[in-house]
Amino acid sequence: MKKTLAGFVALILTLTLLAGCGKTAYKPVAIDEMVDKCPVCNMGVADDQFAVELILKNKKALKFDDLGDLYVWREKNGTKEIGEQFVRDYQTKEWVKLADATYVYDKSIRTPMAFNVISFKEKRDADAFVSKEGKGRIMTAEELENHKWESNEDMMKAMMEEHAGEMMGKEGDGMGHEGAATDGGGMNMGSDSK
Amino acid sequence: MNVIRYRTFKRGIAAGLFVLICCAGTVVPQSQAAPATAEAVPLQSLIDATPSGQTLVLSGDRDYSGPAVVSAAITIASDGEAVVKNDSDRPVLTLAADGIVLKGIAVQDIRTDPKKPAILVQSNDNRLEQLRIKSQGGGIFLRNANDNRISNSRIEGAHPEDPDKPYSRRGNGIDLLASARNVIEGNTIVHVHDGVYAESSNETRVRGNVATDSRYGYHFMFSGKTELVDNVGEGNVTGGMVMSVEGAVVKGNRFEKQTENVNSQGILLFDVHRSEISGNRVVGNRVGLYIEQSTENTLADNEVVRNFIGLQMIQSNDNRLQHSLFAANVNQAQSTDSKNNDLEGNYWDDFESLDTDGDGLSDLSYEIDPFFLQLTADMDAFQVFFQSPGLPFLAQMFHADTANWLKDPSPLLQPPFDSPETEASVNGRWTWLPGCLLLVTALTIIHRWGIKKS
Repeated sequence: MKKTLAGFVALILTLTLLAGCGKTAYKPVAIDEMVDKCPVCNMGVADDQFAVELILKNKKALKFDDLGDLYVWREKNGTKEIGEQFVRDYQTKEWVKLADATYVYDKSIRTPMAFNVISFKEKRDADAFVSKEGKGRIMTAEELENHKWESNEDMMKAMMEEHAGEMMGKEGDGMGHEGAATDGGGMNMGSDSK
Repeated sequence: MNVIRYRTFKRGIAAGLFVLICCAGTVVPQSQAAPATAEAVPLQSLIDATPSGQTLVLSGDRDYSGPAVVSAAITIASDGEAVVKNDSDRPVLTLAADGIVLKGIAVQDIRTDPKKPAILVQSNDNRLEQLRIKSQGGGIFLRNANDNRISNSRIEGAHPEDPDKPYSRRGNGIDLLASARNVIEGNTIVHVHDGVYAESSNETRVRGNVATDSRYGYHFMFSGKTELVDNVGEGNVTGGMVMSVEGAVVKGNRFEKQTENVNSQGILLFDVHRSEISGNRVVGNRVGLYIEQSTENTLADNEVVRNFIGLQMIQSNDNRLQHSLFAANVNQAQSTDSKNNDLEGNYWDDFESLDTDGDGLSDLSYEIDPFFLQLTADMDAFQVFFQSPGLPFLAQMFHADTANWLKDPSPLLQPPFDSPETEASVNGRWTWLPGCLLLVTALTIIHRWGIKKS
């Protein structure tokens, strides 16, 4: 009887310990260029510093070619299913949790989908980048939440604005050309349709 | 004729150097006495010594070394095919003045950084013709460069011997950024990242090029009124990748055998609006035409044959699709979350049509069930059930609301134009011949050797 009880206690203990260990740890998944495709823009995901990924709670990894596309996906699908989010250090390509990284935004920084935001593991590296390039705005992960995620389409919009006369009568579905083409934030054609 | 003398030669130039100088636009042939030294001739000093408007002719039988910056409107040509090489960190050639002509020279770059080009164009109205570029990094990059023309050139990228190297280790063949109205015509681009990549480059005209074995053959992003006409793409991940573009013309292109990658497409349209996609031939790709988040486009006269999926449409509205031919695709078309797309008068070779009034259009409509796409949207592994016997049964069970299905209310009875896929009946005329031959042979064998043995 005593033996059974001891065994039972041991079992409970083991189970408790195991449950403690079982706290889901999400690990970043390596990029495979032959297979991985951005679920938002359909482009192949390059194994470079711009790649980011979401690990869903069911352990499925979604890989994006640009940080902006990750936010576009979140906008549409919500954050409920997300287990962890990873970005990469701009210099070392090391995976970093999205919440721990520091970000730099500037319209002149080229990224695959022209969202123009890059990520750094250490804040001092981000600072160094900004002071070296002489431009760029430092952002934290919290600030990214309120960032207006839009592809930089200024160039095309400026031209389509010029040709707006010719395109008259073909307008539709919120794709209007009203508003200044040269405003800093750009128009929101891209984000409308996404 | 004035002969221009060089006041200063840079150190290290071999004494027996002969340079061809031209005056008043005429070319003086180079002396045949040039000794064939193995050492490459630095190109920069030759360029600096050529006055604006003149031609610098490079000797076809010797090597020249970059990097060189061209900062006057000169012509650089070759009497054979001079080779310009580079071992510095800068581009082999940088065009910094307007109105430069480069013609008939070979450029070789061994730097392996995909972001660095063999030739960098930073000015306007230049002509690059008949160049042969071999680069381990990028090919020709245009930056804030307008009205240039790149024609009849060949660009070869890195690692042709190792096709499994990641695409990101290769550079783009011709890469345009913030450059307008450039013409890219008649070039052959092999084994690069993207054959032609145009970002924020309006009115880029890409005509009659061939791009093979690369990531994307032609890739447009954020560029208005671009033209992709009469090009060929084979064995790329995607032939024509058209993204975030307005007013584009994609016409008369041929994209074949984009099948090797799990994400391959013939033509992909993403976030494309008010564009014309017509007269293209997409053959034997994983997906022929892939259209996502695109509106108000006209797709006409396209030939979509022998693809795994002919047409795939996702979240795309108000497009017109007419007079196209869909034949011998494993799956003709799939569509989800799309509405108000106007299909009209297309030919579907798997369709049993009925024409009671004899107008050549079927009175029965062709409807496309999105069931399979919806099923596999979340679980890719369900693709294994493709054409499994249970699926049509399930599809019928969920055959509820067909209002937003892709529908062709008036499919054609006859193909709108000739295609090898629809000429089966013509070819069938001679299929009896091998059959008869086989029969005769079999009978002969049986008669000669078969029966006698007993």
